[in-house]
Amino acid sequence: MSKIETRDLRFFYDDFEALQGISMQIEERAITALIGPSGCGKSTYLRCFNRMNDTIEGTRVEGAVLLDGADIYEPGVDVVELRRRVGMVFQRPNPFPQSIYDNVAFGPRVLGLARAKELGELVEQSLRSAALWDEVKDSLRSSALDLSAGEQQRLCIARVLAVEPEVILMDEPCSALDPAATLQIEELMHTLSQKYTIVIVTHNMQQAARVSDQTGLFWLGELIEYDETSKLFTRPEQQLTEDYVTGRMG
Amino acid sequence: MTDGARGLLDQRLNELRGDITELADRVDQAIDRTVCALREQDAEAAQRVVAGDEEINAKRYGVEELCLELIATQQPAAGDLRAIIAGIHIAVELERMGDYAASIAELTVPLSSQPLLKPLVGVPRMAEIDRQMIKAGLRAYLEADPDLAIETAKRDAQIDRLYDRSIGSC
Repeated sequence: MSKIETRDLRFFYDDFEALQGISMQIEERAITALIGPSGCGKSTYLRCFNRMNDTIEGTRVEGAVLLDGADIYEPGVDVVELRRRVGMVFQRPNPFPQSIYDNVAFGPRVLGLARAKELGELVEQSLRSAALWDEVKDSLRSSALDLSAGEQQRLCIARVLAVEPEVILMDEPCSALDPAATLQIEELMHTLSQKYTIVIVTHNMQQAARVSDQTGLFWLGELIEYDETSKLFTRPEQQLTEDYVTGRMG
Repeated sequence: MTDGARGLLDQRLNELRGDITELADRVDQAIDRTVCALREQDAEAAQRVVAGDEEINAKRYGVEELCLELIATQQPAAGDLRAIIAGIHIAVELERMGDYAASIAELTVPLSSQPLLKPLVGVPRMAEIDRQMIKAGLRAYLEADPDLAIETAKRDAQIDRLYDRSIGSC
């Protein structure tokens, strides 16, 4: 069953049509990778899933983005609630300049998701789920900024998990990390995919091949091919996909 | 993958094609020389084929090593990956054909001192078709021609018929 579906989704930056009618179904509790060259629209598409593009002036959307069958662009949709359900992890780890504990507790506090005595439990559970607990359990009051880049990124994932999302969007989550930290994030994604729907944008085709169940190739605002990752990287249907994954294009 | 990396991969894939071509040529020669030795009852020529099998084996392992290196260092995908995996299979099959040629050559050595019971017809014909199939199969691989590959595979039935006829007449 698909968790997210887009129907003829078009996105405009003023007159520029960055997404040209994307229809796609994102499978629930699976990892979907979006690949393509810079400027192809993959990050724009990702940001449509939690309406992050709303904050950019001069933009507009046509078509539909359905989350569990309901259009998130319908008038009256609670965008704060939407972004709780559809969390996001960015290219560079962006912890708040606060303690590790307060970073994870921030969302639940703002949204009133947990009482004070339950908050500690929620923080621990989120850090455990983000495979960070063992490393930080004795320094929860230390600044998050003292963590390594890889730990900071896992902290950001814990921060997303703390508000109990259903979907996690990842926009190049490993591009600022070294290979060991990248591997940790990839293993974490694999574990999280048993419970959450994950959509990742990556420039790293090997990463897409390693971690994802489904992959979509974007090119100049169009979805060229979308298929099981194992098929797309071994026997693509489209010549453009073949050329892109073998490094002949892009 | 950058253009530079793609250039390197193309260069190494060409190297792989060259190595497979060379392996196929050696196996083709081994089959030809074995059948000649058998027909001419030439023990020395047969022994040269047996000795030459070591080189064929070494070439096969060279192809495998190159394929492993390409997979490990270039992370090939799609058509490139399929060409490399096919390369490994082709090298293994060619080497096996070389082994068969060497086995026939080994049998030729003791047979060369005895008169043939009847004229050789089936074996040379089978060898001829084999050699045509090696050339066609290699071309199908090098030119990525699936139609030629399918046609070539079908010719195996001809060899099966000749084999059955040869065994039946023994």
